[in-house]
Amino acid sequence: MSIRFLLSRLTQVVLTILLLSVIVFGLARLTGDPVALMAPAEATQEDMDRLRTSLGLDQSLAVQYWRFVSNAAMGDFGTSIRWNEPAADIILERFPATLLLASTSMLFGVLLALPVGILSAVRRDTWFDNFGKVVSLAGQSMPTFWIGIMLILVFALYLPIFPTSGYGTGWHLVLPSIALGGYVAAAIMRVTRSAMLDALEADYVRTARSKGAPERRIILIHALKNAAIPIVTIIALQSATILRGAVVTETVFAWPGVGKIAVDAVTARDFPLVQAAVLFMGCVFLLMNLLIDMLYVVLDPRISYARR
Amino acid sequence: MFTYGPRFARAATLGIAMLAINSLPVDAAPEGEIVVAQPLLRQQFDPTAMVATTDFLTFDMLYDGLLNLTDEGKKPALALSWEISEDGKQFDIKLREGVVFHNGDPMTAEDVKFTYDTVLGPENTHSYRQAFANSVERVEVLSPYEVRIVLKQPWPAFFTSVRYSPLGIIPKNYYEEVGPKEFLKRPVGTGPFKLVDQQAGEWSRFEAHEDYWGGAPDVAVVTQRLVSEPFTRYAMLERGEADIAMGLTGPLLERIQSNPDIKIVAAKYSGTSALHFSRTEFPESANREVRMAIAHAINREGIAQSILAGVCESASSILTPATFGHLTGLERISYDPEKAKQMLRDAGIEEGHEVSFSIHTQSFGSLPNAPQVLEAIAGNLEAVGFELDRRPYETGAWLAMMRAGNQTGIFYGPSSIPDDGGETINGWFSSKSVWSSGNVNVPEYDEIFNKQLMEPELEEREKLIQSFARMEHERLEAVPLFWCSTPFAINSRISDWTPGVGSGYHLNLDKLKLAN
Repeated sequence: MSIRFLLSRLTQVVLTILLLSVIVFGLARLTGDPVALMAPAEATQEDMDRLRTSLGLDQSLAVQYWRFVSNAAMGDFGTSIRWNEPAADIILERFPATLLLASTSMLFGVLLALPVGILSAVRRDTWFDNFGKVVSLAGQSMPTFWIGIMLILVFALYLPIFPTSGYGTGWHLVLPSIALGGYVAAAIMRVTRSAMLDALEADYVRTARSKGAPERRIILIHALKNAAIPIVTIIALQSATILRGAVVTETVFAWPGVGKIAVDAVTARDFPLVQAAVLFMGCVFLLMNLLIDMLYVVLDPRISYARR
Repeated sequence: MFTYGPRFARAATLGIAMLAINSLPVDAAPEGEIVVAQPLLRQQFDPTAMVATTDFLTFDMLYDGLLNLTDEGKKPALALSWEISEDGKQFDIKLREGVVFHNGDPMTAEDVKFTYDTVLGPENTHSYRQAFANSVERVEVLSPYEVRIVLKQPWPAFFTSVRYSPLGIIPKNYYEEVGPKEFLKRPVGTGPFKLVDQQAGEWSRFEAHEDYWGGAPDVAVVTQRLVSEPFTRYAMLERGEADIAMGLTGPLLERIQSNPDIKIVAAKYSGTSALHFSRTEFPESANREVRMAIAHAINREGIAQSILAGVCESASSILTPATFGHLTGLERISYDPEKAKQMLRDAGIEEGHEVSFSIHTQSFGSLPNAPQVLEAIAGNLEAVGFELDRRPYETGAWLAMMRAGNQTGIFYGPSSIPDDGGETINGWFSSKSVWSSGNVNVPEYDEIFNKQLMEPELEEREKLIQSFARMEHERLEAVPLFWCSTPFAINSRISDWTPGVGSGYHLNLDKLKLAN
């Protein structure tokens, strides 16, 4: 991996973040006047103007944007209109909760998807395989908010095992992790199955069999090891997807993460907070993609970003 | 070969360990503690910098005004009694003695003066600052427990509207000592609860103020928790994780009605609404017969029972029974689509006449299932021959449209604090009102509005507003729709609770009684 490659990817990341900042800044302002939404119905124009000035929203868009970008570069995203606290602090305070949910969801997704995907390939075209296909199709088609609501209904109300929502104990993690993990599991399951099918038909597997290697060893060592690259790739890609899903899952389960506060901020027209949340998540997303690119080289010696 | 890195392994182990360590989920809140699951959370704790009427959700916990809004309407709180001068331009107010702030400081006339002076300050951003500035000349301290409010003009609405006299009194010494910024984080008032902890955007926790002048509340701890998803709020209530769930509408209300452990408590008459008309977009609406035909076309009773699940009732006037100036005995306009069709034909309106109609895509206090209700009304109007050009608006866009004066031909007009008829005229029926944007121009209404502004005698003022109600019943500048209450779903831990009347944001939690 050349330094040159890293530099060019980093430049792309910075440009994307700048573009993202313009989009976020513009979109937030297209949706309406936050002062009109915040002030009570009977507030007079003078009352509203005073509020607008106090929020700095009376300046021109160009001035507001420049102030936003130059301050953001220094880590200052302004003060949340709704919560009266620095937007950056609010986001950073919530990021661990999002990270925890994303990790346990991914863990659940992988633990579910790998065995089912491998077994589906080994027992191709049996009832188990068909069942796995149906489950993964359903998992990918069902919206996460609906799965979330159904999980609450079944496992918190009909069978009062888990808490409905909130944060605090490990039990609070179970339902949101299943809702979010189930979504990514479906994709991982499908890729695992097809990668394993390819591997199981390869010459080295036939050779291993003819040598009389035990079936277990053939599947888990010979085939799985060689099928690992697409599986790891999809897992890495899904870890970025999981951030997107967290927005919905956190809202349904009142999980105090970055996704939930972003949704609340959009509803409240809390410009500084929306900007901070989207930019922050955008940066995390871009960095993860960069890491995935670099991971390829480590995983597969055949891939190289060096100039030939 | 791919191996998990040590970091990932640590995170995974941590996740599994958390599941293993914690034994069982805690269900119900501890004794004496209640959790309120709210679709919105306010954490702007400074009453002199009020932003929205929803701020009362926290102000009522932390502060008292000179008057408070209770389940029986406005009642003397920090003011024990008052005298209004003959010209109506001076209020001499006797304050309650022995009231202490959460930090132990006694509340005196100095604190009242300081609070009002802060709102009157030129930089202040209180939402109703303009109304205070227009009316109040200055506040004088007469003795430690007596203040005089000297006015520029009579201000009778001070005592009848929830916007003014319930302004929370803040402690002068403490506020000056910590400054406005710190005060927002550690507010101190005289109210029934004190703020003990908060997480921005998630929850606020309050503890009972043991030395509250009105008696310590039955509830020891109140947690207001923001839960955006309505179903989750409902689930928390059914599971016992919350004791009060706000903002449940639609199918969830039906589900509650079938659950014997959950009941509905309503803040009565917290909203009123009417259909208004744009004289430029729909010039035919200048004809009273056309407006009357529209009134006959709408099945208010049916909509109130079905879509609004009894939370709202069909209105006979824009002023609710809890509104100052309400006139009893006005007849409701009957649902009679045949008559409506005939009246429209007589007025020269052809079948298929096109009119624009705004549909609000979000529900709110003054109309719980707004999108469905407005769609039903649109159906009623089409049934009598109109062809509607439906224009959907979410709240921000709707407010912008209204404030810019770009109303559709027929538009929906809500009022979320219908506590004072004078304010209702101001908002919707005077020729200068913000919301009707000049579409209502009745000199008699302007005259009544101006007279009641200056009328110091409450009884006389009430009569004036009632004369508006009578006249509007005849003229029908707007078609009254519903009087709505704000429903709160509660579980069986709560034995007795009545929220404040005339607003959905005055919860009155200090009067809430817990079972056992």
